[in-house]
Amino acid sequence: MRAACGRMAARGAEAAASIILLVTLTFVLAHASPGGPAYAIMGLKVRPDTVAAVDHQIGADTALWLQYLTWWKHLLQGSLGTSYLLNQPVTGLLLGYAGRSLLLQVSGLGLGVILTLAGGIAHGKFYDTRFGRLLGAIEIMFYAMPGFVIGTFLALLCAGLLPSSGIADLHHAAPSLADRLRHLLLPALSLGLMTYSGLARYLAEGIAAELRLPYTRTALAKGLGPWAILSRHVLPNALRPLITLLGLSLPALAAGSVAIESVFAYPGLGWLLWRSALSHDYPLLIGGVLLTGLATILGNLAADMVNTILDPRRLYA
Amino acid sequence: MFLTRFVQQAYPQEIKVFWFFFSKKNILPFAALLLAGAAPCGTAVIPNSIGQAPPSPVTSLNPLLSSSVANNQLTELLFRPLVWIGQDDRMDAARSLAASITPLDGNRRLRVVLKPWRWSDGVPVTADDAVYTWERILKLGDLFAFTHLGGIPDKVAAVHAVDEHTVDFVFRAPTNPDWVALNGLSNFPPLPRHAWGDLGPDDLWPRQTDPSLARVVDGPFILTELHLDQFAALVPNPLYGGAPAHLARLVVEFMEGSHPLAALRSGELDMTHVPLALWDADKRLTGFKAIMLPEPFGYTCVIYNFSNEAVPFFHDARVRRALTDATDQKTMVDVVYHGLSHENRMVVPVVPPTWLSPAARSGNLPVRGDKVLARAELEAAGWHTGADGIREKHGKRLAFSVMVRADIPERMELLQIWQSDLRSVGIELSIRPVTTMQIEASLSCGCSSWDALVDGNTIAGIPDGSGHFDTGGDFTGGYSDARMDSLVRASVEEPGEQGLFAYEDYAAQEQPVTILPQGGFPLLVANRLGGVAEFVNPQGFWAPEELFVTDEGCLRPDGGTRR
Repeated sequence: MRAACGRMAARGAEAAASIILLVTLTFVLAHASPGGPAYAIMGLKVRPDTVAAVDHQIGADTALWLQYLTWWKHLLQGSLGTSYLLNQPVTGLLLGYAGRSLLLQVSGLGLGVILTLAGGIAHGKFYDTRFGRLLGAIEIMFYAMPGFVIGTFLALLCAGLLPSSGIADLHHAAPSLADRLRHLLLPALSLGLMTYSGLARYLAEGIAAELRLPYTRTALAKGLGPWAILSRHVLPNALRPLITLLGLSLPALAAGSVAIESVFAYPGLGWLLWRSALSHDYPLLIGGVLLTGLATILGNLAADMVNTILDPRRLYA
Repeated sequence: MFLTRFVQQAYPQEIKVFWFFFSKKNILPFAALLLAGAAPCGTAVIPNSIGQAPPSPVTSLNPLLSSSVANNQLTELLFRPLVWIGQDDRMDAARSLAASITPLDGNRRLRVVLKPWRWSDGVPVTADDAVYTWERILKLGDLFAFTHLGGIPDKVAAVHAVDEHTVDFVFRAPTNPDWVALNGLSNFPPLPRHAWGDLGPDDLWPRQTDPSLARVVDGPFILTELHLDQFAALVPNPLYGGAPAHLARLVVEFMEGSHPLAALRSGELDMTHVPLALWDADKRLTGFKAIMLPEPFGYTCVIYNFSNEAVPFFHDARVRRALTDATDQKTMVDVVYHGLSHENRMVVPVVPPTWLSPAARSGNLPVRGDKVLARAELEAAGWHTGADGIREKHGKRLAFSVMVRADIPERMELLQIWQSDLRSVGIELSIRPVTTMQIEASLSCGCSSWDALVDGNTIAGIPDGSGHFDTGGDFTGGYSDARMDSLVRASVEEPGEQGLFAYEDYAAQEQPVTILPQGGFPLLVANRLGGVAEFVNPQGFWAPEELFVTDEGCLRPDGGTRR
C-alpha cells in the first residue's frame, strides 16, 4: 500500500511539473507571435494610439515577466482572469465550452469503443484471412488520416443529409433533442473513427495472439462455442492493454477535437482554444491549455489506477 | 376563484405569452406594429461573413468600442448612426437618423436635425442622446474606436443640444461639412442616456458583451439572444422609425465550419460566400441562386516600406509609377475575378464612381497600365537592364519582396501575375505568404524587416486620404510628401469637392501605393431568401430589413421582382 501511495505521489509531482512547464511555454510562445490582442479586439485597422490605449486598459503594456507572475498570483487566488476579447471570466467560459467538448469527446469515445470492439473482434477472429486483411487496411487508412481530413471527408460525404456545422438548427428558437443529436453525429463519428483507427489493431492482434494460445484449444476441446471462448476467455485478456491505450489516447483525442471542432464549427473547448490563439486572447488561451493539460494528466492517472486495480502485479513493478 | 386557479395551473405558458403581449411595456410596440400593417414573417440564418472578409466572432455590442466589421454589422442594427451610407457612398436619407445636416457660421458649425424616432422602450430619441454619445467619446479618449475619423473628436470643440431634436457640432476651425457628415457622423450613434446612465470607460469596457446595454435600441432590430462566439438572434424593432423589417427573426451566425456550402445544402444557413474559383461551378447546384455583391468601397494595394533603407528606390515617384504602369490589370480582372471586377489605379475607388475627379472620369491619368511607359520611367530614373534582365543602378538590383496574406488566395494569384509583369520590365519580385497578424504588425512596427506588403482598406465616406497619405498617416509604410500633406488638409477643410479632386489627381501622379483590382463577394443563396442584392452597403454594413423569406407561409413583399 505504501508502495502504491509513493508511486501515486511521484506521478502527482511529475504531473505538477508538466503543467508548470506547459503553461510557461504557452505563455512565452503566445507572446512571441506577431501582432497583439488590440487588433483582435478593435479591428485590424486600429490606429497605434488606440492600440496603446487598449493595451493599457487590459494590462498588456506591462513587462512580460510581470504579466507572467500576475497570472500565477491570480491562479493562486483562484482566478484565471478575464478574456481580453469576450470580457467574460475565463473560468466560466472554459466550463461552458468544456461541457460541450466533454459531450463531444464522450460521444466520440463511446462510438470509438463500439467501433473498436466490433472491428477489433472481427479483425482478430479473421486475422489471417482476406477479410481480416481488408479490415486491417481500413484501420491503417484511418490511422494515416489526420482528424481534419476524416472530418472533411465525412462532411462532404454527408452534405445535404446531415448537418455539418454548429450544435443546432438556428432556424428554430428552441431546437429539439433530436436536432442536437443530428448535429453531434458527424463530429462524434469523426472522433470515433480516430479512436477506432488507433485501438482496433491492438485489440485485433491481442485477440489473434490469445486465440493461438493452448487454453483456447482446451476450451474448444471442452466443447465451448467460439463466441463463448471469445467473450469469456479471450476478450478479458485482450482488453487490458486496451484500457492503458485508451488512457494514453486521451491527449490525442483532445488534440484531435481541436481540429474536429474547427471543421464542424462546434463550439467546444478546442474551438475556443483555436480562436483564442488566433486572436491573442492570452488569459483564455493559457487557461484553456491549463484545463486541457490537467484533464490529460488526470486521464492518464485514472488509466494507471484502473490498470493497477485490474493487475495487482503493477503495484510491485 | 377556482376557475382562475385552474386556468393558471393548466395554461401557465399561454398566460405568460398573453401578459408579455399586453403588459404596459410591450403593448405600445406591438400596437405600433399592427398599425403599421407590417407582418414580419419567417426566420433567416446568415453568417456574419457576408460582405466582408472571413467570419469572426462578435465581441462587442458597444458601437464606440470596436471598429471591426463583424461588430459594427451587428451594432448598426441596434444603434443607428446619425448618417447611414448608401449604395452610392452618399448619405442614405431613409436609413439615417439625421433628417437634415446644415453647415453654419462659415463651416464652423454643423446643425443636425434628428428624425422623431423613438427608442425601443417608447422614449423619444433626442438631441441630448447625441450629446451623451459625445460625452462618452470624450471619456473614452483613445479607446474610441473611430478616433480622428471625420474629425471626431479632435476637430470638434463642442456638441450641444439646441432643442429636443436639434444638435450642433461646433468645430475648432472651418471644416468640410460633407467630410464630417460622411466620415464622422456615420460612426456617431446617439445612445440612450436614460437607459445607460453615467457610465465611464471602466464601466463600458468590461460590459461590451453585456446584453443589458443593448436592450434599449433605436435600430431596425432588437437583440433577443447573444451566444458569444456562436450567434445572435434578433427580432424587428416595432418602434423603428425607418422601413420595417420583413423577417420575424434574424439569426446571425458568427462561426462558419470548413464547409459552408455543405451547411447551405443541409439547410442550416440561408446564404454563404462562394470562393471565386467556384463562381461558375456554383450555378450547377439546384435550389440556390448565385448573387454577386458589389466590391467594397475601398482598395487592395501594395504598400511600400519607406523606412527600409535596403529599398530606397521606393522614394522615387518614377519607380512607383513604373510599378503601376507595368501592372496588367486587365489580365488580373479576367483571370482572378472572372471579369467581375474593375481596373483601378487610383487611391479613390472607381465603384461607385461618386468621388472620381473629372480627370479620372475621362481616363486622363498619368498612369495607364502601359509597359512601354513603365520602361521609359525606369530608364529616366537611371535603372538600366542588367545581364540577367533585371535592372541595376550603381550595382544594386531592382528587386524586392512583398508579403501577402496566405488565407486570401485571390491576393496570391494577383501577385503571381504581377511578378510576371514586373519581370517583363526588369523588376524582380519575390512573394512571401504570411498571416494577417504579421501584415498588421509589420505595418505598425516602423521597422525595416519588410520591403512591401499587400493590404486592403475599406473607406467610410469621402476617400480623402487623411490619416493615410499625409505625413504620419497609418497603413502607408511611412510615406511623406509636403504637397500631399497640404492637399489632404485642404480636402478635409474646404467645402465642396475641388479639394478632394486636387488631392486625387496628385495621388495618381505620386502613386504612394500601387492599387490592385479587388473583387466583389459571390454569394450562394437559398431560393427561399429574397432581398439579398440590396442589403449590403459598400462598407459591408447590412440592412437586413430588406430580407424576406418565401416559405413558412410568408408573403413576398415585392411581387416577385427582387432577388
